[in-house]
Amino acid sequence: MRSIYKYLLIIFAIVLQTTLMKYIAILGVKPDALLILVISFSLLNGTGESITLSLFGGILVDVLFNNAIGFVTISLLIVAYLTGVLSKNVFKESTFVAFVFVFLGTILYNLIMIFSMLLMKYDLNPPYLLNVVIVQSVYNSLITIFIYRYIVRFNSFIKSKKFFFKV
Amino acid sequence: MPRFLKNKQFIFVIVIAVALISAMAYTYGGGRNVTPIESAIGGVLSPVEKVFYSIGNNISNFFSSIKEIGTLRAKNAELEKEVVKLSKNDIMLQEYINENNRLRDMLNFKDNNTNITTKPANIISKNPGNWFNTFNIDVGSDNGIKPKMAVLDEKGNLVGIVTDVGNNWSKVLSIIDVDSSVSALDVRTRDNGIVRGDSNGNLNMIYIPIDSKIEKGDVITTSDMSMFPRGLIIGRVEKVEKDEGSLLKQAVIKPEADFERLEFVQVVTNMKMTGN
Repeated sequence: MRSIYKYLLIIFAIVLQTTLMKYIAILGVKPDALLILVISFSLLNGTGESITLSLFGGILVDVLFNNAIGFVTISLLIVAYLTGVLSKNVFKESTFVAFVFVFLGTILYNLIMIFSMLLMKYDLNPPYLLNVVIVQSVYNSLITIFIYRYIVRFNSFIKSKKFFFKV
Repeated sequence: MPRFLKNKQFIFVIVIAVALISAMAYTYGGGRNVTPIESAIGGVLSPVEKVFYSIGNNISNFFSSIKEIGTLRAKNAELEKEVVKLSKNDIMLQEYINENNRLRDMLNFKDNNTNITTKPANIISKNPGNWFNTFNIDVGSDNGIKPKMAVLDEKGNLVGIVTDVGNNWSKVLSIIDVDSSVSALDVRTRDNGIVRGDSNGNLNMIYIPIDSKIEKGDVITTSDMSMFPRGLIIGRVEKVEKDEGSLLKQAVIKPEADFERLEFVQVVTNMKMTGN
């Protein structure tokens, strides 16, 4: 039942993202707390986790903020699922591995979004797009370096059941 | 049978992806009253977001007021001068209004300048991503808000348009979003054009005639041809460009509303036609 904390953490991340994150934007680009959390948990817990968490977080964001429902969810789902599949072959608790996954994951996430925007016939501005993708992937991965160890600790806290069973 | 088709989870992901793409195609475009489930989700999270948003605003206002203390005296003197100048102008304008009304009566002109009525609202959150400029406000269909109503800032400048409406919250699309387009008018030269967002926080006015005398500093307002009430201020011309080989001009427009520090807005409730 402790996994409820995980969902609460994701809701909290979305609320922070939409209210206070604009104050720490660099070059007008906000980091993406939801993406960092979902990639980290998929890396730690595998594909099942990546599907549930990306659907939960993505649909919440889409319902609340986006005109096209599914826009964030599908990008998040693809990135998280790939991370979950690849996580079998890496050393999961390493911060460096998470750094690489978040860096590449952010690029892929934004590219899928740009592709969806092309399908929806948005008028795109290529230099600006490139700027956003690069700045956000660097920013996200730098944040991951600092918070990944706490996510790992939080994850093991959720998984540990000794309080309920072993005592 | 390929190996990946035996993986049930993979097939599940594909099915979800297809479902999401169909959902995107179905909901894209906005202008709908959202389903009760969506409305409930927004209703639960809105109060929480409102608290966080106002905390953020209070902190940033505190720091910006510290920064402004040094310049207050100079600014006050400047504003007092402005007041004297404007009150003179005001008397002159009163004369013009009377004269205009008299002449209108003589010509039997129908007065089509209806006053707009507005409903105040707080902004509760902004779009989490970097691609779109949308925000949510804390009034909804319970307060008589409908899709496609115009949204103004405190001073009455155009900010955006309501897209989706829940019970006590609604989504607003800013005019600086890439998806937004507004029919606009240069007040001085009466040139029509379309104002669109360019995703850098500025606006582009396109389809301006080549012989237009539009220049830097002109005020751009909504025209009578859009669904917005006419005469709402959009912004000022910053730069006029002429594409080589094109038969039209375009202008970069600086929006008059401050989108970074937007806190309160007003929704126009008596639009010409509102959806549904």
